[in-house]
Amino acid sequence: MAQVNVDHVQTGHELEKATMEGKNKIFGFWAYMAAESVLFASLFATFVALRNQTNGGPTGQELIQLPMVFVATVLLLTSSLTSVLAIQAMHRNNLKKMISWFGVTMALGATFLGLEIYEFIEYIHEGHTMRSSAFGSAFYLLVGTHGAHVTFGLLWFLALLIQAPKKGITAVTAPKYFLASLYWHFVDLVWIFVFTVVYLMGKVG
Amino acid sequence: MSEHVPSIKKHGLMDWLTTVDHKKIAIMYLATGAIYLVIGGIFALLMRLQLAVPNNTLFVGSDFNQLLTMHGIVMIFFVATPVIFGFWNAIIPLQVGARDVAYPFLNALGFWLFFFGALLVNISWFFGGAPEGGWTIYAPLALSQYTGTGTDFLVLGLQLSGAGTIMNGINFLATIINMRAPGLSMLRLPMFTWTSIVVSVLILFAFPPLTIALFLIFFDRIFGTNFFNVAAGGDPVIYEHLFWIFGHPEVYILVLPAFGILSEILPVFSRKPLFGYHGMVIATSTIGLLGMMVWVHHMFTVGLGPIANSIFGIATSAIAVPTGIKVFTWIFTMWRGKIRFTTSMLYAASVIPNFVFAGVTGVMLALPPGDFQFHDTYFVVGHFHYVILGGIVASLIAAAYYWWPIIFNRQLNEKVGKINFWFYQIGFALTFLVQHWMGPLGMPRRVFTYEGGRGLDTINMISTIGAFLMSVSVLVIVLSIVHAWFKGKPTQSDPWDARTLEWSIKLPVPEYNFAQTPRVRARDAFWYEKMAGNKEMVPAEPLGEIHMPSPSILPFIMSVGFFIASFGFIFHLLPITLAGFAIAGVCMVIRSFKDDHGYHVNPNELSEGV
Amino acid sequence: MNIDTNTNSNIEQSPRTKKNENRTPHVWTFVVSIVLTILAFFAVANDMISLAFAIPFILGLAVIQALFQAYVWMHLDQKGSFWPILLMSAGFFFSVMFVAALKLM
Repeated sequence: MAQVNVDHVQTGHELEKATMEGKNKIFGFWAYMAAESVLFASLFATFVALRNQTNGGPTGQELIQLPMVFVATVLLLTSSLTSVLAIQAMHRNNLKKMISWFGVTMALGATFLGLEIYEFIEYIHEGHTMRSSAFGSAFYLLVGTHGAHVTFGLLWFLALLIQAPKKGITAVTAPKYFLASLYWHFVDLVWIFVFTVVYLMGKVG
Repeated sequence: MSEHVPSIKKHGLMDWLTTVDHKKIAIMYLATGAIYLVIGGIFALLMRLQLAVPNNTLFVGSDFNQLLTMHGIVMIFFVATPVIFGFWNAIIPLQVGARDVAYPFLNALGFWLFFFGALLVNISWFFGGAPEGGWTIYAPLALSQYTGTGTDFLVLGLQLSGAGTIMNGINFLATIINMRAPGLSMLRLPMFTWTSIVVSVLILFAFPPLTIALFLIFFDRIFGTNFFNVAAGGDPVIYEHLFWIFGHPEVYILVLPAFGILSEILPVFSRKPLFGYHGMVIATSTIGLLGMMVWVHHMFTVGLGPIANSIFGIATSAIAVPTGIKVFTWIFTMWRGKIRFTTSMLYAASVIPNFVFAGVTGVMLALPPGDFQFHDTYFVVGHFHYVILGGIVASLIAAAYYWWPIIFNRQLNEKVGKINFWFYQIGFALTFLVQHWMGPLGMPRRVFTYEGGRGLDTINMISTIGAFLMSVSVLVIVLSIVHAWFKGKPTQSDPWDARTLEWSIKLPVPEYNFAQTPRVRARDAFWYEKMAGNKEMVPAEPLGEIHMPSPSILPFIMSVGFFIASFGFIFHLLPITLAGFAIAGVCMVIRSFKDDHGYHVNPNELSEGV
Repeated sequence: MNIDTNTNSNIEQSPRTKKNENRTPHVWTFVVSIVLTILAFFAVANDMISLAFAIPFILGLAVIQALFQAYVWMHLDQKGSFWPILLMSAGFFFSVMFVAALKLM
């Protein structure tokens, strides 16, 4: 089953698709992301249906600080770019570069997460909590689920980077790096819709 | 690649707990499904006993509600679903000429998540009562003000088994798309495999909304959020939407494999190729697509307005067209064929009239004015039991008789099979046909009793008698299985003179399935070779060492971890929740850090055949 | 993928490899994403743009940005992406349908 194409092992180009396992993993991960899209869609649908039900609490217009959201967005966007650069380094079989680009990705992701936690704490001080209103419940579940995905992505990168120096770039590890990077792009993709639907549309009411 | 790891094989119970072999996982799915079939059947019998006579006091109020809820949940999620996954696991890799599924580890994880999810729901009986809010778990009835911890068990148990289901969908999609034997193009795939592609895609898009719907209930119950608390701005209709966005495709997730099974069995026992293969493929895909877009027909009486109701009514009726195409292709497949009425064929043939009946009552329900009359009456109960028992379960029993030799290397007794068939058909018709009259006569579903002297007494008694006849049928099957297991002799290969690739393998199926990957040269691949005078498939590769994945205990332990975490959530014990997640997390880390090199088997060294 | 056909390809020579090694499309996607994001924020922060225009406008920008990233960063422009594109488009189609349904009904 593990039909490793020798030539590709040597050059490192598209190593993630060199084995049947690698190809299966990438295919399956797309199927997983398709399912995740609908999962997030269900959360978006719930949010859109409940976003004006503030129960007398603060509204989106009162809460949302656009500058901070913009900074968070740029952070996550940049981290998506750096994870592409890491995969390019992997294709060039440059382990050190790959590790450092993934490191940058993690740092940016962690900053994004910190900003989100700071934002949540601010909101809670202003009386906007999970229990204060249906809007609050839907907001925290949607944005929180995205945040949980960011957290999981960071842990995933961490697990891979601990192993990377020892295991290097092989037909076994390449699909793993590739998938982690795909996942990160997907999390960034979802954020595009989060900042548009939750924050920008929330700001204009 | 050449080092030969002699034996990392486990024995006895450990073999079953650690296996990643799809054929063993298939047996575990089928066995679990069979056990829950008996449990769910007992719930049904108890309900029918309560309803046998008017004003009965056997199971009243909450007792009846618990039986009712658990009957629905067990039969849909823990019987129909695992039995279908059992056949997927047993048959699809063989039908596509693959040595394994795409992700053997994930496959095992999917099974154990399902297993512990089912266990979690069913042990709720011993922790303060089973869920009682109906299988749809509608808010606000499912909120903590109205129902007890049973609902928590249900919500979390379904999350676990739902995650397992999504894994299965991804796994089999990848297996079919990526791992087909050389020459097996998409339009040469057997219909069972084709329906599985569509079903896998439906699972991908239908189960996440269920996950979210259950999460909303879970958050409202455990963290006190306000999704369904109308006083704080919540809206229970959101739950109904999300549930039925899942719920309606779920019908097709269950019924399309049944259609696939029919399309395998009818050609074999008619000695004719399937009529209208392309029409069948198009019809299957169309049913899948339309099935995702008609969920509102379950919500006609919610009051979404005449426009919404009309659109969804028309869309639902449109599904009758591709379904009709399927019915006619089955009839034309049998037309002028040399039909052999084996038990399998009897069951398959019985599905056609029964399912047409279920389809017609389905169209009646799809029309909003009619639905306002039938909604929440026994007419609906009769309708969906005709779909499930007349269509799905009958097909699954047909599949069991048909594929038993491949799965267990035994044949089920044909004479006993016919007894079981007639008990099943007569019992089924008696139980559910009359329910179509109960509804219009005014009997609401889900209510534990009725008044005497309103024209409901006799038909309820008939229905109860029918239910007991059906349980005789189940008993006969169970005895037949036990007999085949202990007294049965190994089957000869290809006992039905069948057409598709899975029958080209010498029984019992070796753990690597195919010593040499076959080359597929036509649609009914094995039949083509038989007609060309070959006894076996033409190999596509020389004999050589075969790489196999190692068994692993991690899927089992990981699922135990999630099981423990669920307990922590239900009883609000944070340390237990964290401990459970820690167990699962450690398993994930081990899986990430420890490379699985697998082992190699050499078909030359092993004796082939028995 | 055609991993079996180009066994004698060399990194420096293969055009497909060159395209992958090229950083330009990735950096361009980044620039486009930033510009689209700024446009979206501007459309909302600026009081002169009407609501009826701003909301469809920013939703459109989001879709364009998502498509850019999916095709370039997630490599959907490569050969052999039929199934990923099919699955993701179906996922997007159903997503829009579900959100619209819950918004409208």
